Amino acid sequence: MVVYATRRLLFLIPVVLGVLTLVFLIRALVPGDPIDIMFFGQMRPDKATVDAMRREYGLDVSLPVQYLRFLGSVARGDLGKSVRTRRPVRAEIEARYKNTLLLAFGSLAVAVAVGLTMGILAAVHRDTPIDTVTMILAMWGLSMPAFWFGLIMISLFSVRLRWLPVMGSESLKHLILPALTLGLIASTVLARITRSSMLDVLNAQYIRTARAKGLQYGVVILRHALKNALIPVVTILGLQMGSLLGGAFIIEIVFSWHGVGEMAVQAIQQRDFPVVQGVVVVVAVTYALINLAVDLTYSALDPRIVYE
Amino acid sequence: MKRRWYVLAAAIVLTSLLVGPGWLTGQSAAQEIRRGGTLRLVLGEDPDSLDPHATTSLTASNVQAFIYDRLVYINQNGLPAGRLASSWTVSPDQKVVTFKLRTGIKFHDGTPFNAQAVEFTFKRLLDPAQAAPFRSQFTELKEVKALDETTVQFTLERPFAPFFTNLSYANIISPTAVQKYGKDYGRNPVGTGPFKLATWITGSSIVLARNADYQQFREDVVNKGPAHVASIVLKIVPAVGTRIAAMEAGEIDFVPLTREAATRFLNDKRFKTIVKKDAFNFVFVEFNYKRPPFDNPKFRTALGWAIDKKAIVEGAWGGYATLNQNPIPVGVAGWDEKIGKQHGMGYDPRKAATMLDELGWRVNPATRVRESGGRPAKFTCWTYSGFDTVKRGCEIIQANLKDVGIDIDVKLTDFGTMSAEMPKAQFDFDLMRWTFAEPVILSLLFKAPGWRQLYSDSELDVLLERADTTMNAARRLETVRQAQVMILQKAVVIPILTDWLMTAAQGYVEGIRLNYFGDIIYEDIWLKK
Repeated sequence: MVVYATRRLLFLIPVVLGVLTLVFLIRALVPGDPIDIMFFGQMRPDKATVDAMRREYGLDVSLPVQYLRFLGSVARGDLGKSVRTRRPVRAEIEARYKNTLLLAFGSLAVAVAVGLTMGILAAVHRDTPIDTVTMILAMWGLSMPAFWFGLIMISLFSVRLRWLPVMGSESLKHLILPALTLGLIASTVLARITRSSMLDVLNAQYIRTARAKGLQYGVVILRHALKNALIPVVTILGLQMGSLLGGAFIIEIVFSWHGVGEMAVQAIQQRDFPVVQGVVVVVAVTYALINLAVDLTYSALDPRIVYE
Repeated sequence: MKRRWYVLAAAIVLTSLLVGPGWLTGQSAAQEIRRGGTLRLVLGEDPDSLDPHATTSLTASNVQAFIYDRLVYINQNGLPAGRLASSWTVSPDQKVVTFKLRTGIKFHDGTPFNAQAVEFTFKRLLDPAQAAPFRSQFTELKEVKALDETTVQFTLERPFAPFFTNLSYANIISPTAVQKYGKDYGRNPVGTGPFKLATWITGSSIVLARNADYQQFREDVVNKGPAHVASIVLKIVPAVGTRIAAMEAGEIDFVPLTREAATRFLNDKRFKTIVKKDAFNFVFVEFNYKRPPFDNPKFRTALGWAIDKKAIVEGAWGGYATLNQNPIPVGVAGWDEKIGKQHGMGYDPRKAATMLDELGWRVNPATRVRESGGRPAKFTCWTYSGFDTVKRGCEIIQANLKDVGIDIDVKLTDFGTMSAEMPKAQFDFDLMRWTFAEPVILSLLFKAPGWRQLYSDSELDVLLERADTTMNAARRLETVRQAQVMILQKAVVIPILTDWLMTAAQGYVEGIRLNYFGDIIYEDIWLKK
């Protein structure tokens, strides 16, 4: 297990290197120079000032040199300096990353609670109105754009009922609406997977045996069936976590939840390349680590799975 | 596109306000002003830095306006007036300006404001090592010298008419604080302004606390002492829709209005609305002058006559804009409706069709599209994405030009890409929007090489250079008028409109007044709740 985890962690190095290269290449291909954007619609300062600014941001050297410098500084844990704020990107991300994680885990909690319940209910009550309604809700959620659902939630719970704040990330109260929005949408995929996985397990012979032994139905469902049905669900959860980190970008903007997604969108608009690069690297590493954690969870769920 | 902060250094322009029902400007004088409370405002983004020498961001500039004072301000008549400076003299050659400073003023850190602080501020601004983006506003400034404790002298390379306007945006910083905080000064700004920075949570909010020792010298501000509200919280909310929802939910006290939200707020008595019609915005069509047929002024003029500007005002801006046929924003000094009417391009598709015929662009009966030398009249109208107004504007232009036999594709690109691609001259024409409050906008747009490095006209350059270096206001404005006529005669751009500046406030917000730039004077605001 330890050997396996170490090997997987080492695999992260080429992954991160690939991400860094891709991000750098994209930034090199995208038109738009941050210094030009800074002076758009104004009298440009003299060449000396512009040159000094270019030097300060390392834009005065060729792209290969910029790339090598970029790799070198990332290796030292330095993600560069924001072109806009002139502050270290690492500090900017640190200030916001906990909010993004909080939102991702908050939504995941909602998704798990709602998705598993819906999936189990639908499987247990297969081909009944409960199953039909649950699956219609799941389909509805799958086809709902997150930003639109977010606006509906704001309109209902903040503007009309005034129960919850529209925006901000100051308290847990501010987390409720964005976490519900993302979580409810994510729960629909989980519900469908849980249902189909549970249906497979419920038809297995050991379930029939457990029932025949006189075990309570609830115990059979939760202890015997659900545990075995969870493996595909956990896989989806890992992927969902990634999309929650990524999908949260839009929701962070809609709810003014001050995470790295909101920062990344602004950085893209302002061509603040170091910030964009920093966010992509951090999100990519998080995504890879979460998937490693998911893989390791398999053996906890099913002792037959052993990593060597 | 970005809003810019210039204003005329010498001209009289009346600010017209359309106020919502149930309140009038200045009514607070008749009521007992309630002091205290927190005013809640929104920012579209986190300011990059509150060091005035490290940013050109409009958001940062708006926040700095609470913290810093400047030597002069532009009064309601559009004239420079004393703020931290009590008076000044200008040398006969118009190159040396000597300011006398007010005394007894202290920075938020307790250190005194004096001529040495002014000298320090401007020397730091001009230092190439500082790489201050704001230095671009002071390219004509050669030297700043403190003559004694209360006298400071500015020497210019040449007479420069926008100097006082630029000065009205130059924040005076505390030398002690700059030395104390070094590179972190941008997070720890210290000025002499009406508010001090209390807390700044990155990406979330900024809290400003009232400066209890503040003395107000601006004549356009009623309140001569510290601000009425105890604090201001600036919440960072990038999404326009979220800001509007927050206003409706009562979470903020002011919100800038978009065209889409305007009607709802203007008709809702819970809110007060402020509309400035003579704004500094300017929407226009500009061309790739290096690509035929757009290098031909007659062809550009024909397009000008084919475009129904009123339809764009109504259809794209929902009527919240003023039709503008001048190549300058309606609020900027030197704007004269008569110039646009006499020399500009109205809407007359028949006239446009005749002009195109004369230029050899004839309609092919089979395709109903004009052709010249076998080349069909198929072009692209380019504009930036994310704004429904300019997109609809391009669509109306597309329909208008189809009526005269010209086929148009509409292309949307994000603004960063657009501004990077424009100088490469691989496009036909674009719909653009600028905000600028000073006649120097003409030079920024049209003086060679122009903001996109595509336009060059030595005759126009001479006029614009004269306008920028004439310190006499009346003579300068006359030159500005001549330049407008020339720009229209050569159809360098097709002016379309000036969209209005609209803001909504909660009903309990009192004392709402605007300064010359159309900005709310927060020192006069109080909360009736």
